[in-house]
Amino acid sequence: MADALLRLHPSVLSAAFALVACAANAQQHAEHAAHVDAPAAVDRAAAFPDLGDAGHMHLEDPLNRSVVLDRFESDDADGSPVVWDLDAWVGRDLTKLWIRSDGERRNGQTEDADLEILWGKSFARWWDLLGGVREELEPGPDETWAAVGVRGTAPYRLDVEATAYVGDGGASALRVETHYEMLVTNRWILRPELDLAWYGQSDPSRGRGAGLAEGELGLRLRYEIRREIAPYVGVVLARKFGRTADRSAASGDDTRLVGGIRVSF
Amino acid sequence: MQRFPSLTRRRFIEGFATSAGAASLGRFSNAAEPPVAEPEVLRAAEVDLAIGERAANFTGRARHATVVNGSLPAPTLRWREGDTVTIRVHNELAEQTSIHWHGLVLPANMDGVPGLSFHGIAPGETFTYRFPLRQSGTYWYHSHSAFQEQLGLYGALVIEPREPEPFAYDREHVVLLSDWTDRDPLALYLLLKRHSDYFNYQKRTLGDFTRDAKRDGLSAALAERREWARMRMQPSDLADVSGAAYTYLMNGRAPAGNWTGLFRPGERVRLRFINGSSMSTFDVRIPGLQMTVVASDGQNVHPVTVDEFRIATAETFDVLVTPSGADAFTIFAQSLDRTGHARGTLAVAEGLTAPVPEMDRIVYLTVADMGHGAAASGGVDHASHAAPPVVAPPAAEHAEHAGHGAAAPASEHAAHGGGAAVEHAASEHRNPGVDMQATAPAPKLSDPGIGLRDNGRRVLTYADLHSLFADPDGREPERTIELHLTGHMERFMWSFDGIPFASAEPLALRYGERVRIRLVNDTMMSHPIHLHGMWSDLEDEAGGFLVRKHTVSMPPGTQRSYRVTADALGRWAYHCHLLFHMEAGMFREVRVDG
Repeated sequence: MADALLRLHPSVLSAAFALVACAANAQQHAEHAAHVDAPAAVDRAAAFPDLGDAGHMHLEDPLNRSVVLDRFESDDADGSPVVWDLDAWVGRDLTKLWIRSDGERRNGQTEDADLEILWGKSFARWWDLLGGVREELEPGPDETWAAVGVRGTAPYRLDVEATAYVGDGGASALRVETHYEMLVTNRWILRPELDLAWYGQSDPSRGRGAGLAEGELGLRLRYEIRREIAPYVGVVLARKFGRTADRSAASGDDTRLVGGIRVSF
Repeated sequence: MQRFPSLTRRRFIEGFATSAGAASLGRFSNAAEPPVAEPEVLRAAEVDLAIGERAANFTGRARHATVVNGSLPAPTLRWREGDTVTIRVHNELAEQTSIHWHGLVLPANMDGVPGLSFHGIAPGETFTYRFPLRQSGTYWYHSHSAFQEQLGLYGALVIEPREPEPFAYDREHVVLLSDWTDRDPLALYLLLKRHSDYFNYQKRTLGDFTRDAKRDGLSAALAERREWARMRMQPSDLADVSGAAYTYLMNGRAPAGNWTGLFRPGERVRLRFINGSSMSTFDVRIPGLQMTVVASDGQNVHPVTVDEFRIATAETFDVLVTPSGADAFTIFAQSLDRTGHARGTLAVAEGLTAPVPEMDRIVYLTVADMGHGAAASGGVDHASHAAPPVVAPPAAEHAEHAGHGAAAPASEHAAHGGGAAVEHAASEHRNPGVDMQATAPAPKLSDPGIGLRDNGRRVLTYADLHSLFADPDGREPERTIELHLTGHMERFMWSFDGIPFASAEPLALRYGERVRIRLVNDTMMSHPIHLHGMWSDLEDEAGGFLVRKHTVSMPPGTQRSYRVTADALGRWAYHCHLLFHMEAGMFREVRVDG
């Protein structure tokens, strides 16, 4: 085509050049708009190597576990008492299997012991929903409850654990435990706490009266030698209420000095 | 706060004099291999790097370190712009490894991210990297596998320019800052996931409250405490891992080891600062010397002279100093949370020291720091902003956004620093992995940052950084992608828009397009955000081109934008460069395709 053009008039030739130049210019503009050339096959191969199913490996949500022996203490009452409160879980960021236990031994006898196994799911910024079973091993014959509850951090950084229970024959109960951590220093930590228990029905055989039954107000001061090891001293005021108190052999109020160690790992 | 560290703790912070010497301790007593060495400089365009394990001792206890050619940091690589380099990486570890060339523009299959650019390097295998050097400046390289970076797999990378540089100097030193822990990094990560404030020994106490109540009055102190308690946050949350676990290193030396860079009086010295730490932000100064910043993230900037600069994880700054009037000057790099420091000396001879300054006092975050609108810094009257914006919105879509946000309570803050009313992705709402949202984020480019404001020193800010070149692309971004940095402090979950990496779709960019990425920090931590393969051209508050970077620091309460030219085909990593945040899911794949 160029040959043919050359044999034509010079003005046609210059017009042709102008056209070519214009086209080149247009192409340049187009390139500027796209800014980069279309990728060559070799570039594409380098950019998207075949990695099969291999994804980017992350330990985004690893299986984790926590064991907190929150209380392991004795008090100034007779019978060399040992009291424990264990909070443990295995699981991931938002889903955990909880194992909780508390109890008391006096005079070499386990007077009170329970074990809870709960499945937990975080459902809000600060709250987990828990459901599972509670086995009351002592006192008396074993007793099984279905449990459902929440745990989390309320505004003002109040730690809250509230669990409702349903047992044999329509028995029901509710437990609420709250505590707050006050930093005297970064290692001396003062912890006020309040635990309350209610029963739906009276059960004379177990000394339970309907309504608010038991309450415990505690104040414990611990020293974190390390985060994991913290001995503490404290004072606990325990009280039974209403019909539960009526049925109790002991008098209503019970103030104890406690000392123990908090261990986590 | 512990004001009188015990002897053991002091040794822990200050470290042992050298990393060598103590290898006869502990479980390495019978090891035939030598202890960790200091990095050599490799200048060839063809190098061999062997990744292995060695005993290192920075605290009095021998630990396993991940080393390259036996050294920690890894060898300093010095190359020349325009050359094509070949690096054979041999894996002598028992696990997969990789090397990522941080800040280098190269083909995707050379970028070194397992699962995105290649398969990683299996134990016993060798992988050959080969790519042309299309840039110059100060960069670095590090592992992108597991927690090897925390264990020591990082090194300096210097590319000398073909053209003469716009500044002159007589000698230079690399100053690579990092953090070392005796703890197993995986165990550390799991620990943070179940006890996120484990390493924070600077929480405010009753004593602090009494002091504040005396100073500000009881009701003011109470109101301030109530605000934080209501949010269930800690104003002392400045770092996830503190000096309680870290010994901070300068070129692989603990403070007591006193890394020393030599100079002759009258010389002008170029210092190439690199933050190769896993989780630490440093505030750097050299008492007695002013520093002229000439490059940021390897790219030249208009020289700016300062007394101090903050360097986020993965950033680099090149500064010029002219030491005179003394034989020794301390290079002092304190961690942002003021729990430890790295330290070295510029001196006319080995063995000289200069006084090491006391660390500054910790400054706690304020509610305004977190972009929560009320009580904003600078005493800005928010009501006045309900009127037309003071700073013109840079693009039309801002107006559109402002329209969307009109009903939101935050709309009155819309004009802050040219930003629009903040909107949060639906995925952030009712999300147990998101504990906080900013309501009035602002660019805060001229803010020196928490702990550096009004300290009597001239402190570098992002607003001081101006690239020596005009916007290299020149096109206006065709679209804006907004991403929020999200997380849950206590659960130690981290994500973009509330979606962690494993659940996220890749961010798709069209090959050749110019986009604006607008980041909003919804968390109370600072996040250094790094895009692989392409530059992040940071915009000023009016939407103009400010400075070219590879890592953009995002303090709490900020909203910052940068332009990206999607000229690099492939699958690229885009993530927070805090190692444990990245691992926890503050990571996205960016896929550039035609």
